[in-house]
Amino acid sequence: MRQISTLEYLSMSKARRAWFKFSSFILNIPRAIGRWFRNLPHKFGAFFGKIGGWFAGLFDALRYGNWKTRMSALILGFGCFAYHQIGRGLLYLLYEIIFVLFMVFFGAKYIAKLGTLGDVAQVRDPDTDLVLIEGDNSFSILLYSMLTIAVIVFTLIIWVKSIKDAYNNQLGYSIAQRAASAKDDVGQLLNHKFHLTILAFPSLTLVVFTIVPLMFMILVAFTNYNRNTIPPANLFTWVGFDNFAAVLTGQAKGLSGAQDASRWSYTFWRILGWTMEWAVLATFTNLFLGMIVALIINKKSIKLKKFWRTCLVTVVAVPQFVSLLLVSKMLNNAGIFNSILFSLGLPTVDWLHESASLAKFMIVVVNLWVGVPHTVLTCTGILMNIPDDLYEAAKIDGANPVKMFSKITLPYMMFVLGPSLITTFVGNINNFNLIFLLTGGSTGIADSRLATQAGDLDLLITWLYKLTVNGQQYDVASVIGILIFIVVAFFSLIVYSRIGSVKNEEDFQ
Amino acid sequence: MKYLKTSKKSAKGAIIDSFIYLLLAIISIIWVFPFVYLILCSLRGESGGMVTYLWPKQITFDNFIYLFKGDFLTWYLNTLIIAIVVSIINTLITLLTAYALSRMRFNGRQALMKFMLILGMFPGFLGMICIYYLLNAMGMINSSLSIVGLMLVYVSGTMMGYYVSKGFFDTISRSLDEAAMIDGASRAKIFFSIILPLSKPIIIQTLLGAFVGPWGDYMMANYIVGRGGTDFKTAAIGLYQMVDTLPEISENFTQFCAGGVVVSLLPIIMFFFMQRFYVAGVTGGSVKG
Repeated sequence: MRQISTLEYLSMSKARRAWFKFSSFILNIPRAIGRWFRNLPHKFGAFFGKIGGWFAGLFDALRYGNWKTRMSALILGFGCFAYHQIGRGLLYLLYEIIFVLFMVFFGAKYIAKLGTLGDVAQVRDPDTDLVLIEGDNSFSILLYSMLTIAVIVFTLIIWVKSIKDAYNNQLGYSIAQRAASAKDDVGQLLNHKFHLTILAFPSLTLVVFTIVPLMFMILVAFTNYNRNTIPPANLFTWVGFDNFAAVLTGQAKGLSGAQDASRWSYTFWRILGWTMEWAVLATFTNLFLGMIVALIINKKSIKLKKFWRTCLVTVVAVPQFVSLLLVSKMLNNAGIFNSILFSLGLPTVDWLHESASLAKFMIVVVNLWVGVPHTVLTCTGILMNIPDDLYEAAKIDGANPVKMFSKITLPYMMFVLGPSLITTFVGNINNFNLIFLLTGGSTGIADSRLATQAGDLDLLITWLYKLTVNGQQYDVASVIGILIFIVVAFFSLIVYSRIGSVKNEEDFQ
Repeated sequence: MKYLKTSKKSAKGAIIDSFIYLLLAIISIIWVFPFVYLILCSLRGESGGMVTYLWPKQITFDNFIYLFKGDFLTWYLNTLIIAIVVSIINTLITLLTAYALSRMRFNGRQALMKFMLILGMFPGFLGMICIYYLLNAMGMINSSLSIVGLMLVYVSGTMMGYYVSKGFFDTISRSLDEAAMIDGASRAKIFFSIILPLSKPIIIQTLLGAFVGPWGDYMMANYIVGRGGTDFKTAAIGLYQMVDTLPEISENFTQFCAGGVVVSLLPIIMFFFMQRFYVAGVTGGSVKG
């Protein structure tokens, strides 16, 4: 980007200044991303440095600790018993016993087969269809391996903690002759360690129902798990990057899907294009119309503000499956809109099924109907928050309403709404409800170039949904999921590298 | 001269205002019309899906009566139980997580926040196959426990939605905490007796959001209970399946509308009474004016 001096900038006309700001923002995006990636090694360095520091404490404890401390590495809680912390010691010991039992009877047999995802196929008697040999279940092996890995990581943390506890006890014993009692421990959990108490249950559900499933599904993208290989009757196995190659470039060797790989890639790029187009259109139309409506409702001389707002807010309150299903039936060929057109003597239109471009236009319009009230609510809150003295000062200086709007209202609103734009944008990329409930993801016009389960109105998220629920193409669905993540992360990265609010959270105080 | 000028100006203002009123009236009609249509259809006595006129020829409550004679009451109660339990648990989790991340400084806090940020970028539906399998292993699919299973699904990712509440807590002065701490209050005590009473808007916004989410969810619920027995469905799934295919639309459309009215009633009442807090909450976390 061209560097210019302050004087040069000030001598520009207003339009050129605005253009300059805009173009420098756009031109800076690659640079910001580049900077983020250049900083990545530092970030990783800091991360591993922290982990290294954590282990260094462990080695210190093992090196300088006495035999009681070292014994804790084998028998968890030994160092606590030795210093009369019976309660804490018992908990450690109990955890160790449970962990060993868990590994012996559950974890070990799954981890051992993770490399192949099972090699003994199920055998059934061809005549009676009874199961003769149970065989390996690839799904259980992969899933429970992930669960076991999560447990092992947690155990590692507990193990290091127990050794450090023992070492601290040893050090404290020589100074103060007393280690923290069970009562102290409980008190700490409500005070300085309150975060442990309150984050324990949410973290557990997060690990079991979000992190483990996600790890599982990310790994499924590297297997051939689809409707032809459903366990327990069949085995699935690792295929490396074949699925990614099929979806991105259309070239794949080992993909066992029923159709050729080029259809996957054609469908993916087409749906990605429409997803982006939709997200941009939906976000900006919503923002502009929402701001205009909010401004006219909040105009000082307008009465019945609450009434107008309530009219709009009804859409927010009614569940989307009711409002969107209703609108989709109203837009039907025999729906009420066409009835009105017909009775007026006008030609009827099959809004959502006639052509893809008309259906896309209608989707954006219906999205305005659903989304504008949200924007109006937010904008109303912002408008009420603009300090009145700004306007009074402007009035004294002789500013006209247009000037006040462009110099106070608009910058203020954009300042607050700017960061939330990206949230809306990402929300629109993943807007399942609108596309699925309104159109089912397709106009119904057959297109042989599209892969299974994909329709011409599908977003990536609805295609993912259909691939999972109807198509049982889990391998491709996982690839799509990971690609959605990459798209969303890309846009979030732009914003987080440009705004500092994430970094300077202490500034508000 | 001066008087003339002001009267001219106000006349111009009145014209603009009347234009705006007209515009607002049109906007309101567009926004409210589908719901008027919904209510009219739910009261329509004539059967048949789509009719070519707006005002029903025969007004009855038969659709509602028919609906409640069927499985709808079970669906509605299922949804109600799930939404109430989930909204209470989720609000607690969200507020406590936000409090911990806003006020306490512990090892791994930054890492946890970054980790949750990245985790949130994955589409939530991706892990569903796996969750289904886990719930199945726990006996929560197609059984009377499937409501509990669905609750677990809704509760699982809540921790990641702490942003807005944390933004709100960040604006509450930290000197309050320090004063209480000097008086000997523990962190738990500070949260429950100082921070919570100050956070009414954010509590109500979180409660409302956590209630409306499960109340209207189709995507997750359909995967967990959509193919199960009719007793375990939620209202969203039941009503969607009533009008899924064309012959079903012509048979059930008026009852679907009646169901839609019943389902929408509770959220509308809640929004109506809590709108003030909702507006304050939406912006409270972001505006530091």
